[in-house]
This record gives sequence, C-alpha cells and structure tokens, in this order.
Amino acid sequence: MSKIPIRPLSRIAVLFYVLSLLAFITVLPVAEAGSLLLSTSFPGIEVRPGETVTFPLEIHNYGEPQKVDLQVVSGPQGWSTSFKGGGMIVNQVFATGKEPAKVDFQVEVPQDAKPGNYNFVVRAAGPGGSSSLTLRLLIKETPSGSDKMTTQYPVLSGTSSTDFQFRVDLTNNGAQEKSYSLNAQAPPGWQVTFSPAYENKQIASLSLKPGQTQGLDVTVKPPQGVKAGTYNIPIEAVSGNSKASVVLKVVITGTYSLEITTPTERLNAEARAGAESPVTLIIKNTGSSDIQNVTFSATPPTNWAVTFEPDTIDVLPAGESRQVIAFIKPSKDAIAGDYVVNISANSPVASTTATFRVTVKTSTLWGVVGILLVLGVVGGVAWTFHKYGRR
Amino acid sequence: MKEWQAKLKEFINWWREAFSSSGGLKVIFLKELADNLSSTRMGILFSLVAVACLSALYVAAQSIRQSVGQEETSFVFLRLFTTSGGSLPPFISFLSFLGPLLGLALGFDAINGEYNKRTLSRLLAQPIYRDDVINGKFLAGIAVLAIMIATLGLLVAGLGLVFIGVPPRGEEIGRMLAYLIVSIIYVAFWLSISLLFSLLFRQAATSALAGIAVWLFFAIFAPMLAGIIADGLFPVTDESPPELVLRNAVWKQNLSRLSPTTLYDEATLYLLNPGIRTLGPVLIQQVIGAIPGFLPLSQSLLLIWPHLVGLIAGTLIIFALAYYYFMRQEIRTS
Repeated sequence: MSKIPIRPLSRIAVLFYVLSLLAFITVLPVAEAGSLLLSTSFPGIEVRPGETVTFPLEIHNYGEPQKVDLQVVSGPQGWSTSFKGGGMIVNQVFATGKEPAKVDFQVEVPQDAKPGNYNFVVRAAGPGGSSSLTLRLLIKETPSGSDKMTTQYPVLSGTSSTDFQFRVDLTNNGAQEKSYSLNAQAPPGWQVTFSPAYENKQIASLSLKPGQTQGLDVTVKPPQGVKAGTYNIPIEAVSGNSKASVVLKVVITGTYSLEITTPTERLNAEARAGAESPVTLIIKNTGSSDIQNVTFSATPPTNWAVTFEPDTIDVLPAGESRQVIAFIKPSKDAIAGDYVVNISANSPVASTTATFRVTVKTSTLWGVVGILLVLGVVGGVAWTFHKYGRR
Repeated sequence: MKEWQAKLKEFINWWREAFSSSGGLKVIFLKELADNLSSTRMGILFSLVAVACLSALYVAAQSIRQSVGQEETSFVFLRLFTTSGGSLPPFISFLSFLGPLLGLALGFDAINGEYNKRTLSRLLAQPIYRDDVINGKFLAGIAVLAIMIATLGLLVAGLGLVFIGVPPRGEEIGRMLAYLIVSIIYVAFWLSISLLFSLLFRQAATSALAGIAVWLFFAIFAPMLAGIIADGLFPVTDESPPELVLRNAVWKQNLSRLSPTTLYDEATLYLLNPGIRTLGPVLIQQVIGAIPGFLPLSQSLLLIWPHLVGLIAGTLIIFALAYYYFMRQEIRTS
C-alpha cells in the first residue's frame, strides 16, 4: 500500500533530479569548461579616431587557483592592443579563487579608422578552463566640418559710431588638436578683430584641443559715415580642410547730426558797424542719414541783423556739405570790439550751433570827415596867412 | 570856374614864393630855440615836470612788480604810464596836468615881452618879414615842447624797461609814440593860447595870469560846469526814466568835451588802455554778446580821431587868430 504512493513520488523525484542535472549540464557549460569567467562592466563603448580606450577586465576563478593566459583572439587589423596590469604590459595573470583578478585592456584607435562597429574577442585560458569576451568599439559617423562656431546673439544694432561686440563660441569637435586661423569677410572699411573671451589681446589664430570650446569676442567697427542699413559679416575659423563659420549681422540705425564750419575753419569774422559783411559757412551732414529741411538762425547781439543765403536746404544727403553765406550786419551804434554771434542750423531731426567771434570795426566815415575838417582848418590858416601875411 | 582856378594858382604861387625865400623864419626859429632851451624858466619847469613824472614812473614800476602774476600781464609796458601807486597819480595825469604849464610858460611873453623890452621894432627893422617872427616863435616853441615830451616819454620807456624787464611789443611802441604825439599837440594848443594872450595883453603878468586862469578853468572847472549845465537841463532823480538819465549823461560828456583837457584825457586813455572800447554811456543792449578784449591800434586811433581833430583844429584856429592880431597890430611904440 505504501509502495504505490511512494513510487510515483520517487519517479517524480528521479525525474526532477535528472532534469535538474540536465539543467546543470546545459546551464553551466562555460563554468564547466573551466572555472574561469572573464567580464567587464561596459563591454561596448563609443570612441573617436586616434583615441586610446581602456576596458577594465575582471577574471573570476571558481576553481583551484591557477595561472591564466590572456590573448586577443580576434580584432580589426592594424589596431594595437595591450593588456596592462600593475603598470606593465602583461600576458598572464594569476587568478586566485577569492577575488577577481584585474587587468586593463587597452586599445589604440587608429587615426584613420573608419566609422563603424569593431569587435575584439579576448580570451582568458587557464588549466582549469577558459573564458572569452567580445568587446565592441563603435566609431560614429562624424560630419566633415565637425567644428562648430555658434553665437547667441548674431544680430546687433547700433549707430555708426558704435563698436559691436559679438560673443562667438568655437568648438573643436574633431579628434585631434587643431589650429584655427580666424578671418572675416567684412565689407570694405569695416574692422573686425578677434580676441579671446575676457582677454583684451587681439588674436589671428588659436589652437583647440579635441572637444574644447573657446569663447571669442568679435569686435566689429563700422567705417565712419557708414549709411544706415543691415550688413552681413561672415566670420570663419579655418583649420586645414575643415572650417566653421557663422554670419554676424550688424544693423546700423540712422544718426542725424549737423556741423557748421567755415572754409578756413576759423570761426571769426570782421564787420563794420552798420554794414553787412558776408561770412561763408559750410553746413555738413555728419550723420548717416539724409537730413531734410535745414534752416538757419542766429542769436546776435541786440539790433544786429543776420540773414542767410540760401536760408533753407531742402535735402542734405548724408556725408555731404553745402555752402551758405551769412550776412552779418552789426547794429549802427555797435561799439568797436569783439562780439559773440551764435549761428545755428536746425532741422526736425538735428541741430547744431557754432559760436562766431565777430570783430566790429568803427566806420571810417567819421575819420574821413575829421581829415576834411583838419584840411579845412589848415586851408583857413593858409588863407589867413595869404590875406594878412606879407604883402 | 576859370576865375576860381586862377585864384588857386595865384595862392599856391604865393605860398611857394613865400616859403622858398623865407630866410627870416629860419633865423628866428633857431634864435628862439636857443633862447628857450637855455632859459632858466624852462629849466625849472622841465625839472618840475620831470621829477613828478619820474616819481610817478617809479611808483608805477614798483606796483607793477608787486602785482606780477596777479593781474593781467598784457600791455604791461603801457601800464608804466597808467598805473598809479600809493598816493602818487600816474604819469599820464602828471603830464595832463602839468603839460599845459609848459606850453603857457613858453608863450605867455612871446610878443609882449619883445614889445616891453622895445626889441620888437628893432627886430622888425631887420630884413625879415613880419609873419616870420610869429611863425618862428610858434614853431620854435613847438620844437622845444616836442623835445621835452619826447625826452620824458623815452626816459620813462627806457627806465621802465630797466625796472620791469619786459620789452615792449610793436603795438605798445606804436601806442606810446601816438600818445607822445597827442601830448605834443595838446601842449602846442596851450602854446598857441599863450601866444594869443601875449598879443592881447601888453603886460606879461596879465597874459600869464590869463593863461593860468584858462588852464585852471578847463582842467578843473569845465567838467564840473558841464555837470551843472547837464543837470540843469535834464534834472535826474532816482525815479527818472532811463532816457532822461541817458540824455543827461550824453550832454554832460559832450559839454565836457568842449574842454581840450577832457579831449586830451580821453584820447590818452583810449591810447594807453587797449581794453577800453568807449568812454561814453553804454546801453546794456550794446554790451550783449560783447567779449572783453583788446582793440587794435588802428581801431583805438579811429576812436580818438574826433578828439585829435578837435585838438589840432583848436590849435590851428587859435594860432590863426594870434597871427591875425599880430599882423594887424601897431608895432611902433609910443
């Protein structure tokens, strides 16, 4: 009675055993092939050409302590590899059972390595077994102009007298250190200078390590009298056959300014009391936009008259100048000497004032009258001589 | 028209003939010059004026040296003549006040002295023309005065150079020479007045007193009188309208300009102070925009030209009067 329930039980137990044994056989063939296990934390990594990468390998020993041979079973051609341990190149490692033995596997990626997947198979083999590990190196497809030039604010605006300061970041995305020469295709007359960020020396070239980013200050100086408008200034960093570039934009806003001067640039004039005297003025538009409707006025001393010929300029183009004649007529009873006369040019958008020193001279009319009087008296005396003198 | 031209021609011929053959004028001129220069009277007067002027110069130089760096340094040479120091008035005041005395002293007994010494008829008995006498005396007087004033002026200039050590610029020299010439004209005016008085009054003392009276009147009382007349015509109080005040001032100035002393003082002020633009009343509207500065010599001369004309004309007219009296005078003594 008791056999019957036992049998099926024992059968199941036997089956279980066998199954578990089978499972043991199928699950642990590597462990069975030896008691060694070769492992690394990150078996697949991304590299750049010319880079040297290191895989830290660990060799676990589950059996007796043993010497383990290390070798590269397969790998791409022309790549140099080495095992390193304790600062030396090694080819054997002693694996005790207690702790995993540690070895670095170093791979130098050639400069000319093409993008793609590269597999290395490394093997650790000892008397008690062996273990293989496949390591994968991925070289990514990189664009030919791998260098980057970026700026946060590519458009700046200001007047023609502004110095525009751009901040540009240049990044070397290549695999090796590169020397860049910097240049700008500015319109004629524009000055573009480069300097490293937070430094004030001007540079024409710079050298960057792979992956390094350097901030550059690009100072753009527009020429004098530049007209209002938008100007493109492409700047580029060239290194061998790769280059990075960015287009900077400068928006010049129009400025309005006038200037009064004379052909000799002397701001003084002479005039006779009560008589008109002409003074030639030159009105210059020193701004960057045309100025419309320029009129003239003067603040002379009381009872003086100042008129202008012509008294209006309809349009004064930027950078041009016109001649205007001012007729200054001092008051009839102006005292001889120097006076201040302010002459100003006004327009809705700009105005300017020039201060003239006007030297007033006394009219010589009374001098002539005086001479006539003296002559008359002399004549009278002579007549007296004639009339009452010797006869 | 023809008649007028013929008259002019005759007139010119007369002048040419009169002065080309006038040996008498030269003789009288040289004799008078010698007499004047060697006379004690001139020596005393000249010493008086020289001492006064030189002390004024010394004081002026002292005060210029003390105020070096504190005041305007332009035209420092001219300031030798215009700076007063302490209790002493400046050089120009001395010359303006004492200059007429020189002229009066030279002429007050020119004719009546000869008359009283009974030398005039003897003189006229010589083969010289009658007008040569008065012409020669007048010209000799002017020559002596010119020598004196030029001496004084140049002495002051030279000593001033030593004292202050700043060489004058061309403009300053020009102004100084113009000042000396104006001074000579002014003194010649007084010479002509005293010459006239020496004809009008037979007594030398009377003539001298008359001259001094005229001098005192013009130098001291004329400006006061001008003020009184102007105030009488246009009484000015604190509430007077500006026009009235202006009129009063203009009248006062114009009346006082009838005095040759005022004319001379104003002329010298203009000449020696290039910064002065006008001495008359100035309206505020004429000053607006004016920059203080110095006038060039030509402008200063234009400003004083009326004064000069007045002085020259006055001198000539008074001399012509004296000439007329002398020619019509009865010479023979009783």
